[in-house]
Amino acid sequence: MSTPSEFTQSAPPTALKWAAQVIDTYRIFGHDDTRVIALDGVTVGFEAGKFTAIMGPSGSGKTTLMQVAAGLDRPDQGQVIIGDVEISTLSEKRLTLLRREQVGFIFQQFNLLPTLTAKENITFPLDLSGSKPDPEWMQRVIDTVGLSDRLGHRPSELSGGQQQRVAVARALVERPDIIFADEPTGNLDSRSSAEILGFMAQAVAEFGQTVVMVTHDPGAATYADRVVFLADGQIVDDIVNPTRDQVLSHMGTLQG
Amino acid sequence: MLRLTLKNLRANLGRLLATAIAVATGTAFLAAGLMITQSLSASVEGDAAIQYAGVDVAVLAPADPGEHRSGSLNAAVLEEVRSTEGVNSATGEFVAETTIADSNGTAVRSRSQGRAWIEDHTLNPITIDEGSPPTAAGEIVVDTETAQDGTLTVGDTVVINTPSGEMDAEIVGISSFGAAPSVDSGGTVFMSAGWAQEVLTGGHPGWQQILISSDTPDAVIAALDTSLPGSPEVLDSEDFLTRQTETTEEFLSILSPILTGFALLALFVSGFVIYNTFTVVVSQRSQELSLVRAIGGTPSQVRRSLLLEGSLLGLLASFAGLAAGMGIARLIEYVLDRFDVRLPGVGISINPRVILLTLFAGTLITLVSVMLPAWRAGSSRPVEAMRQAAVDDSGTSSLRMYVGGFFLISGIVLLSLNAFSASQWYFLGPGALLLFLGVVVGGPLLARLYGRLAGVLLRPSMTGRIAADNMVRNPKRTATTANALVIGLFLVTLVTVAGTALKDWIEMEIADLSESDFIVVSETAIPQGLVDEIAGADGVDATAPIRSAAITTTSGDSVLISGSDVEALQNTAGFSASTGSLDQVISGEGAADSGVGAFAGPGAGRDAEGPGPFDPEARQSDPGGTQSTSADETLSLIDPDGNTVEVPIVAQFELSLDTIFLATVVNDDLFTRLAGERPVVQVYVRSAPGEVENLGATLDSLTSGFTGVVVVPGNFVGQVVGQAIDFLIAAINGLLGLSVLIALIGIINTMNLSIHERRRELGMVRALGMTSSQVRSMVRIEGILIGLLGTIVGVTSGALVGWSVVKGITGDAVSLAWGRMGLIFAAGLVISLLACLLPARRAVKVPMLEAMAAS
Repeated sequence: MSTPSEFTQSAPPTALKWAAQVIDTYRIFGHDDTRVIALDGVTVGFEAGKFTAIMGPSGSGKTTLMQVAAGLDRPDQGQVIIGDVEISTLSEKRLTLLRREQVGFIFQQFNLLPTLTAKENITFPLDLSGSKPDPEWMQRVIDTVGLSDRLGHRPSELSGGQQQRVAVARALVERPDIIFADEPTGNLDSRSSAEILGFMAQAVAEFGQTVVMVTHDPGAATYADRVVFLADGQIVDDIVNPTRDQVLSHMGTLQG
Repeated sequence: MLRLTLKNLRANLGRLLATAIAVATGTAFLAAGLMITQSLSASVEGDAAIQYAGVDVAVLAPADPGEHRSGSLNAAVLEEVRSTEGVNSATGEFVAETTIADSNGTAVRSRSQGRAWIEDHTLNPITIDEGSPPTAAGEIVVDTETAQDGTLTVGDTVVINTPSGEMDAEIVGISSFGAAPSVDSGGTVFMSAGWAQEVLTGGHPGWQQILISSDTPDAVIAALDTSLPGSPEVLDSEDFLTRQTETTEEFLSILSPILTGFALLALFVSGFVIYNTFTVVVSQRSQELSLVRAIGGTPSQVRRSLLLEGSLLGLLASFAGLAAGMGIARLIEYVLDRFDVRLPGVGISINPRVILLTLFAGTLITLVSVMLPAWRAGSSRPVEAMRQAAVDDSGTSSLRMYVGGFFLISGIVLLSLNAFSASQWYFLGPGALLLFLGVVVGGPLLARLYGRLAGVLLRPSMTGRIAADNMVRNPKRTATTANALVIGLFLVTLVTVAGTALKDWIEMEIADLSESDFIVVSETAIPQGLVDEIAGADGVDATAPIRSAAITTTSGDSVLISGSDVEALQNTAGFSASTGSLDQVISGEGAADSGVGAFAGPGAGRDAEGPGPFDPEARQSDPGGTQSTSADETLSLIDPDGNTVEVPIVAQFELSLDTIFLATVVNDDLFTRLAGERPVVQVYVRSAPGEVENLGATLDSLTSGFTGVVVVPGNFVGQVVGQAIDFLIAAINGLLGLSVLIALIGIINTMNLSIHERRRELGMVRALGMTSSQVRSMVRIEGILIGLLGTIVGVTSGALVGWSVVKGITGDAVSLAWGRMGLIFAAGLVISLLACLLPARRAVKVPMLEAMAAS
């Protein structure tokens, strides 16, 4: 096991250095015999303007970490800070609004509303809050993901890769403080996967977007600026600018 | 598989409860209907059987066309019967309305009957609980219930109102009839045979029927058939009992199909809901069913399991319905009692036939409704459950569009044809049927178009927009859900629109028929003092008092004669001649020892055409054996001194609502000559302009002290008919409301299914920032859109058919009941809103992460 990096040990937030932080957080499911400790005192920060990957074997708690950090789930103990807001005291409604305005999501599947067209799906979060997308920014995002000619189509008329591109565009168009992606390439072939990962890396590099991605694909993790490894609900490793071999060897250590 | 079925039932208990309620509601009404009709007919037959248990042979006086049995079996006939060989005993029976006045002068019970006491114990089913039987004039026995209502005890002296007027009577006994108080549901006043002949018959002694006890009934029948004068009917005990229960049977033959009809309707609507619920259950369990299929369950095993589940559920729910049905039956009994209609006999009872029929019908309808979902579940491929819920375009094929559109349009065309071609009734049924088929077949398409339109209209709101989209994701299911509501609201609107328009029309037609403002009526007599007071009351323009008597003719028959100031009658009641002239009637002049009369208008002469709809005698309590007269006849009447008076009939008067109470009319002088001094029985009153309401109050207070004197508004019939129709509309709609409630359950089920199917989507939109209240309003809008669809289609088609019916009957421009239709519309919307409360809560409760994680 390597020693935790400076990111996980770092001190409280300075403005905008951290897009989201999880501090000494526990998340426990079930009772007694069925009790599972998904997060066992995790402390981690996600740096603004960076692409962070969370990796770990099945059941390591990586999805739970993402959900807690994104405000989709509440920890049993510990602090979660999105931007500069500590969310544990927020009402469900305030939390929903915060997610709507500051957090973007890309899921593995069920990303899109089947009754809406691609364009409507992209603007869906903005429509929910009744705001209008910035047309210039919108165009730029659509051009980036290469969807200009599919905007009027419904999800059922798009390929899996195209559907995920719509999801990426939706996450980008609202310019959230942070985008969480849960296995965004889990259902895609390798070519589409590379495209989607490329768009996300491009968004980080060109637009300064913050992206946190949960993945079990070492190839996908190499697109990230940093990889956080999780096992049994704890952060066990943290590497910056990972290569494929580094990731593979770390994963090998965890699973072996 | 049976174990799986049972476990499923238990696991899905909550979900199936909705179905069970739908089944139970439908069967409850079936059970209630069956119970009431069964026990009614059983108890009426039973009562008659007990009342006439000792009767072996009966002689019935000939009935007039109004089914009134006159008391034409006189003492001589009774004597002859008694002396016939084989007759053990014989007694005459006579029944006429007789009320007991309480201290305020109003009747203790308004519909009590006077009866002659039967001395013979074999023939008399009545027991004296207290006191003794009536033996002399002035003595009466009352039943226990009447005694209780009027707090009467043996020894009390009361005023009774008989066909011969008011008189004093002493209560000498209290009687009962088996477990019941009396044979008459309104109570009975018994008198000695002699006194009854005097006061009940209105001065024309005789019996309505003669009851005979005999050991050799056949011989007695044979003997009486030939020997009795005037050819009365002689019946054996079986035929006699059948005759006694005929009227009840007739009543039941109307009531029973109505109640059964409502029950079938409720079951029919339940069918839609059960079908939808099971579709819900099947798709919610599609994964589990796929698993069963994948590990080797055959399609027929899956189907059998579901069918078994349906049958068990149907059976259980039918038991619940049976229990609820008893409650409803008791409720109906109670409501009838409030309206002073007491069910005869012991009331509601349950017999095995009702139980079996209810359980069978409830189970069968459930089974039939489950068949299609079960078949579908069996044919699903094992992998199907893994598919993502997608937009379902089924049910919107162009064939459906053409067929549905064709049905709809031809339905509307036929209904319009019916409306514009009066009395072409054969267009109505097919038109309504085609309209219904069009709605069912074209429903999914209609739902889709409607959803598109709603989507466009709601575009500015993202939640509304998505709700509209969601509504048409499964157009078939949306249409089935809406149709359950359509059926109920269609019928409610139809009844309301047609009923209201008919009521207005009838009231209008009836108002045209009445000239007088009030008629003061008594069954027996209006004291002369009161007649004078009425004539002198403030606001009175004119009055016409009427006297009435049955006069014997030279041929031994009797004729009912009304005597009045004919000119006054013209002024108050719009009395006018349709043929001939009234001048002679007014003057009364003719040859010596003669007078002139007018007889009732078209259709009244039974000799000519049989009884018409306004046959006066059919509506009159008819104390003597009277005959009506006909045009150009000359009546030879016997005056009190025994002289013959010739009365030629010179005119025929126009029948109106006022004059249907009149018999053959002569002027006052002639009447006095024929009948002597008689009390006034009716006074026609015409008010001065603008005084109608005040005068009504004045008349009410003037007559309040007099027993049996009633003030009837001139448009009384119109008012009564109007009220009756209003009551009918309300009652029918109350029953139909049931089907609307069942439809509510359907909407709840469908919405719950939609939410279940879209759990993952709901999780996602929540993650993306849709607030709970936005989710709630999304679900609510979807439910309301479905409800609105059902309401629009239901109310529109109901109004269309209602319009067609009314226009077909009246041929007039129909005033649609817009206000009431608006109310129905609002009710439909409120119901849909209510139906969404639960699903909306459920949608918000869907756990975000769980919903997304499920795969």
